[in-house]
Amino acid sequence: MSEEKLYDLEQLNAIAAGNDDFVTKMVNMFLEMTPALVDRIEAGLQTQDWAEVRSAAHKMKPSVDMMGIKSLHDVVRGIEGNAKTESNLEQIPDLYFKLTDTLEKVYEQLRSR
Amino acid sequence: MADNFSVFVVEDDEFYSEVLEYHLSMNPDVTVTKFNNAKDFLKNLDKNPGAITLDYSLPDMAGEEVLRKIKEYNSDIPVVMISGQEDIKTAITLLKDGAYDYIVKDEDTKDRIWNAIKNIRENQGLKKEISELKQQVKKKYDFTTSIIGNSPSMKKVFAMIEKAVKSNITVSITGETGTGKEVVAKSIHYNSPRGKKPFLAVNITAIPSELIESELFGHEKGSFTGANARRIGKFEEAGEGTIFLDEIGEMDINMQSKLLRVLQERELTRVGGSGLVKVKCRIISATHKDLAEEVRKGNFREDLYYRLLGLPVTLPPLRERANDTLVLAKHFIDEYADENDLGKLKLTSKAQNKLFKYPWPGNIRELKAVVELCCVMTDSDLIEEDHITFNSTGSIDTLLQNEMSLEEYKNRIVKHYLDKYNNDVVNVAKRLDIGKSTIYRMLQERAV
Ligand SMILES: Nc1ncnc2c1ncn2[C@@H]1O[C@H](COP(=O)(O)OP(=O)(O)OP(=O)(O)O)[C@@H](O)[C@H]1O
Ligand SMILES: [Mg+2]
Repeated sequence: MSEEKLYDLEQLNAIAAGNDDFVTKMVNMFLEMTPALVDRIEAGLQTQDWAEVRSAAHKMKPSVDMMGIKSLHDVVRGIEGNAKTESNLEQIPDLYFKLTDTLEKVYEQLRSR
Repeated sequence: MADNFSVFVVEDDEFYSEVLEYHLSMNPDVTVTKFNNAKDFLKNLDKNPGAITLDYSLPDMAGEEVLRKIKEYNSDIPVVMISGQEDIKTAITLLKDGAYDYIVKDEDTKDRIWNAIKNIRENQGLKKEISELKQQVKKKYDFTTSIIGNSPSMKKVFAMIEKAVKSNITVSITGETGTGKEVVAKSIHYNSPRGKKPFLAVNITAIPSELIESELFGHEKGSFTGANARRIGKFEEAGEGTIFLDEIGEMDINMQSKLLRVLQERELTRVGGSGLVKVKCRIISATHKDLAEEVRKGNFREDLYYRLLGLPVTLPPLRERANDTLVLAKHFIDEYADENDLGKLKLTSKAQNKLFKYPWPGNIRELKAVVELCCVMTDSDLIEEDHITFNSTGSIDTLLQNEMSLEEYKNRIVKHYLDKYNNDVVNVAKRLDIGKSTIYRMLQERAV
């Protein structure tokens, strides 16, 4: 696995204060809940339901930040912001691909952690 | 202050609320309850959490509205608002509406929340402690609630207390051990106009007689070996409050004259000093002895006796308070159950009868101890006869407090056995391992 590590559990480890079970639990929770949020974004994009896109992206922020996925920091906020103001909407599909692309790799890396 | 602090985390983001719960629960005194929507949370507001962290964007209600509902319910509960994004206008509105803090979800949110909760806890602890203390003092010595009793003999006592509260008169309290002398003294003090000034209790028996004078009147530096610094005595310390001279009957005769002089002059001199200090405190004394009898025997100065007598309050022994035994027993049971979060406990009628028939040599103090033990012994909500054990060592202790001569104790013991075994001298002699003739002699001398 020579590819760059896309996540960083430093923050989570700091909170866990040595409790690895907690870290595992949170990682699993991330793996379980994120795909559903991604689905919501996709569905929103298809129906042009920007409120739904905004809300799903908004909900993704804390976990993405906590998992230390730095490359998605601006991506999630970009989707949320554009959907909220309904401006630069043409950027959203690109951001969305970046999101799913990165997340696929992150899932992979987390599973083989 | 290690009581549990309950924090409600209202947050629809599962991931985030999990992290918050984990982080806040690092403090073992904090209990976290999570809610993921406003409706469920509001239904539980009556559980009065110590603090709330509230997500600004919940699925079912706007943050401002939830905040308003909390504040309407109880404006004292601190609410930390947590928002997904920085928005100064919202922040200002929320703070104006009474939010304790406004925190944006980012990297150091958890520390900011941790600190906010910590501050809230410290503040609340302090506030609570102070108001509880005030409550306690007020409630504890409001004699209509702290001194329990409906018997005619206690009604007389209440009437005397009421008189004492309204005046500055010296009070002398007499009663067997455990009849409530100290509670009465405190009730008088705290309900009198001096109530906010100090109440100082001095137990004469607890202080070696050579130190009593300095304890009461203070001393100057170097006035005796060990007097390394100047120290004021209890009379001065009491200021315009009340000094409670407990077990005054045990004061030695020398000290009695010194006390008498101070009470007459209303002035004292510190040991080793020369200046005069005004005495402004009220004097309440107590004894379990019959002081008039001590005067007759020459153990207590007659002039001091009259000086201290003032308004005499005589506390009847529990066995002379009619139904009060049961009233008090129920009171102590409720109090115990309340303090220990038990449900209602009831005495069976047999148990009541057992309590009622016992002579209570240790009076209310003993009743309280016995009743609390019952509450521990029972496994249900009923206290039965068998749960009641009278602590015999306790009674011996109290018996010994009477400080009778050995001869008198001997007589008491023999009499106790004769009563118990229907005056069967042979049996009693055998049990006590003494000669029958000894008992006959005692009977003849009417000692027993
Ligand atoms: N009438 C009463 N109602 C409720 N509690 C009482 C009553 N009288 C006494 N108590 C309680 O009984 C206990 C003993 O009371 P207190 O210390 O005042 O007795 P005392 O007469 O000073 O005893 P001693 O002579 O042994 O010092 C205390 O816990 C007190 O709160
Ligand atoms: Mg006492």
